[in-house]
Amino acid sequence: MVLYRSEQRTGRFAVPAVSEQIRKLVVPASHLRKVCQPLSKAAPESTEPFFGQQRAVDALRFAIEMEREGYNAYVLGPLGSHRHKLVEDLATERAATKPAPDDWCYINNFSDPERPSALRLPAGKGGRFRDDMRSLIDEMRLAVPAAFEADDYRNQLKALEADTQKEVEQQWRSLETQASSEGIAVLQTPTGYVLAPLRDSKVIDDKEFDKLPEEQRLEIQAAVQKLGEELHSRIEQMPKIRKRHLERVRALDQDVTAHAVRLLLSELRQSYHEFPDVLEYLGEVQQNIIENAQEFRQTEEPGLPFLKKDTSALFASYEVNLVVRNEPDEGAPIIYEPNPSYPNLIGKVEHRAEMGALLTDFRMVRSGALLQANGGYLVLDIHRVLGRPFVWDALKQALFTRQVSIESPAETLGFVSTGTLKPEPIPLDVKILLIGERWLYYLLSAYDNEFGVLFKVAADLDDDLERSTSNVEAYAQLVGERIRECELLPFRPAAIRRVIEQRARKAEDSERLSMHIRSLDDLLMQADYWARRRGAKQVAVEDLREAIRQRDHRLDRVKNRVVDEIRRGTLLIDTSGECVGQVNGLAVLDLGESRFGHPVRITATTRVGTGEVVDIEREVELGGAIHSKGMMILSAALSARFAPDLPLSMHGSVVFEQSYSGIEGDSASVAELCALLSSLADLPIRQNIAVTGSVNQLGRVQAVGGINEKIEGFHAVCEERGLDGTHGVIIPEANVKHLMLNEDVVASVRGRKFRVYSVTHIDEAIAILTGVTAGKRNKNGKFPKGSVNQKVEDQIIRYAEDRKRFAEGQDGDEQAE
Amino acid sequence: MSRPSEKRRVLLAITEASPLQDLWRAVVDYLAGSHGELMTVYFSDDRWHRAASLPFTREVSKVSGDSEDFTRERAQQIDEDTVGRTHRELEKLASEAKLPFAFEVLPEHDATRLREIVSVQHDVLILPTFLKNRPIYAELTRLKCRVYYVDAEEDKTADSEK
Repeated sequence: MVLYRSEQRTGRFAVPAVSEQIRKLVVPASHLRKVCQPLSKAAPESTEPFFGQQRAVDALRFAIEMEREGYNAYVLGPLGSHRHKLVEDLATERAATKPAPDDWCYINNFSDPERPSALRLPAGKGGRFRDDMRSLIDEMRLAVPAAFEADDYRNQLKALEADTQKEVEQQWRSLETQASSEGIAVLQTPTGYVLAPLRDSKVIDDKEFDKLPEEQRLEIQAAVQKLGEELHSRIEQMPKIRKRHLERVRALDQDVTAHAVRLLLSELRQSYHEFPDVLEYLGEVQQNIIENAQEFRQTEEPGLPFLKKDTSALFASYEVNLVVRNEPDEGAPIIYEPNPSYPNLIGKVEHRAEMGALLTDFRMVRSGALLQANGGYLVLDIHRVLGRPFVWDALKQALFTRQVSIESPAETLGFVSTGTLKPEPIPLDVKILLIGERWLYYLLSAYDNEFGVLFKVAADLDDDLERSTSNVEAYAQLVGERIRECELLPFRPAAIRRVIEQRARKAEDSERLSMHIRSLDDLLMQADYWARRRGAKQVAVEDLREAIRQRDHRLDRVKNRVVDEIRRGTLLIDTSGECVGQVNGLAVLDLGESRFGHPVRITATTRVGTGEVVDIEREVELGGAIHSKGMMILSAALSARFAPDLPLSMHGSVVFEQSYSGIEGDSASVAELCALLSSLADLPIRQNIAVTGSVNQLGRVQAVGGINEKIEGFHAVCEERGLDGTHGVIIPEANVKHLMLNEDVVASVRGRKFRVYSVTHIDEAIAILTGVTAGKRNKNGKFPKGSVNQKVEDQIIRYAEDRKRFAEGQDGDEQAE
Repeated sequence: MSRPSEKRRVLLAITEASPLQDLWRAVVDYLAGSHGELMTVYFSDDRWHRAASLPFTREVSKVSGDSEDFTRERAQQIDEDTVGRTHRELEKLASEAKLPFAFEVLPEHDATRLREIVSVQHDVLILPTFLKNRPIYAELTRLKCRVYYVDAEEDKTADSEK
């Protein structure tokens, strides 16, 4: 149980006085916010491109210029770091020096239409070839049918038909003549022929036939049978005659077509004589047209629409599908694909619905970003690549095989059994520039073996920059460039300096400047807004102050709620008095854009036990791994420092009071250890002081994050209750360089209403909190009498003795039994 | 030629082998837009039935060359199909030309009925030339009207007799 002793305890600092020691630990107001000194007026007009990112620039330039397999780049940097602009600018710089890559077309594969052929042509020629083929088709539409309409062709066709007709008639006439000579008639039925005997040119019936002498009847029957065989033989000849006729017509058609097409293609052959692939294709076109000559003949319209001959499709088979088009003078392409879905990246085969069926052909093959960027650079956001199904594997496969095969993922995985196109793969020579967060880079490096092979270069953008005098001058120029690029009002010099200070705050380090460009732009634009709103011609410090205040105000709902609950006593935080085993820790809540600190009560209790310190947060699984680690370290620090010859025979318990969500980090370990020491020494802790910092096993205090927000959070609570000069915060000495506190805190410190103490050791922290010196072991190994450490050690020894007595008592009881 | 305002009566004589389109063209040419009515006599050819009555006649398929018995039923079917098709075709043409139309099937040997038909006054008789060689021609020539002969080929010869 935690006892409030503020009313009970008096005579503080009666034991070895520590006030002088404590005063040395106070951080001067000048160190709380490193102000920006006036800037040189002789600063250069502009900074070097991507100032402050030389490492990333060098790496990216190396990747872009390295014309070797696998030297693709991953640009590591947070959103808003202008990573896209860096990539675009460097790629553009290089692309301008490279020749434009070739055009790529898909053309019909006449021998296997399901496998369209890829055709490569120099940049700009692909479009021309496509247009030339369209013109050729237009000419063919007229010239080929016209050739069939010519008198010459008609006459030749008629002659062929006449010959065939004559041959057929000759066959029948000779049969009829033969039949007639034998007194037999050849009667035609709708489906065949009937042979019947004649008498007086009239078919005889059965009665007349029966009246004939038997010899004559037998003769007639024999003649009919013989003629029947002959008839059968003639009928068998008919298909052969028809086939011969069709072959002759086909040969005629091909001659006519070949003549027409040869004339049309000769000019095209001349234009593309230097491209053997094109000449070969034109040869195939000519051969195909000749082979399909009859298809080009105009025939009568059929009665049913689906029987209509689609001559447009026939001509379309000679079209050229230009899938990659480059301009000769534009250098290498740089493609950014914002939506790298599988079809957008690899390409796709489209289909059209026709009479309820889905049809496709080589003209419906579409290229993706990989082919569009072929010979140049493809920029992709890695989180989008990984977030879309099948894309990452497809990208790696394309890079490994150095070719792009346009097929649907369903087909690749064997989910589709219906036939579709398999376009010929196109050779790939592209530089992939991935952009993404660092953690994704590390994740891919760790879990994807192929990643390192394909992406050999990491261009790691710096988050911040050293705040040296020269860098500050250059940074001021960067701010000026951003102001000009964003078309903002000019900033007064003091405003520029204020911007630089704010960038140090953003970097959470007074000695560094944040390189996060988007947040810089946001700050500048918001200050510009407030300046314009008050009708100013220049942005002043007050506009920046207003921009920051308004931004905080927009996001301070949760913060205000926490402060309000502390004020109303719902969240129990004391900012005055003393208490044993109770300390004000400091926590930071990160809510996206909003980040604020606030005090949190930490309490500790101790009693005799087996040497364990229970972290209640961990026990109920509200504490994270790092927090648990911090607790174990402080437990080790406790056992190492006090009564090392005895087994640690205490039971300690530490908890974050009124904390109902998870706690992570070890920044409260100093506060937790102080609460334990207070409980063991039975010394009360000042509640007007909050503490943050992590501790190691040797009791040294280490730096923590969010230091500015934590101090400001406690200051806000104390200010709300009324600052009286006793309030303050203990921070690790290593965090002093990170201080970029707001003007309110700095003003309070200057007005001696608030203090910031920096400590390097747990002894300094406990001395400030208790007002009692911690004490160092003398040559006899004893702590000074009355010191915190002496009281703690005494208590631990007492616990050990109690435990020993307890154990002996138990043994006695067991023996008595 | 008759005057256009009069109603002209046309007698059309046909067989299964007649060139229908050519005969119809002759009918249309004769009427030349004037009112008229058409009486068609289809002379049924009994040679199918005669041939089918013989025990050894076979029908040889045009397509396959295979043969099968040529029966009376098959002859009857061919006859009916041929008559039906001719009837429908002429009926359609007459309907399109808005010409009153009658159609009668007459066996070639039914001279009595033929005489009855012929006894009715007609303005013109149109018939295929080859009917000149058939016995019925004698009966047809009893008509006291103009006669048009139409050849099976396109180049038809028109002869006229009173």
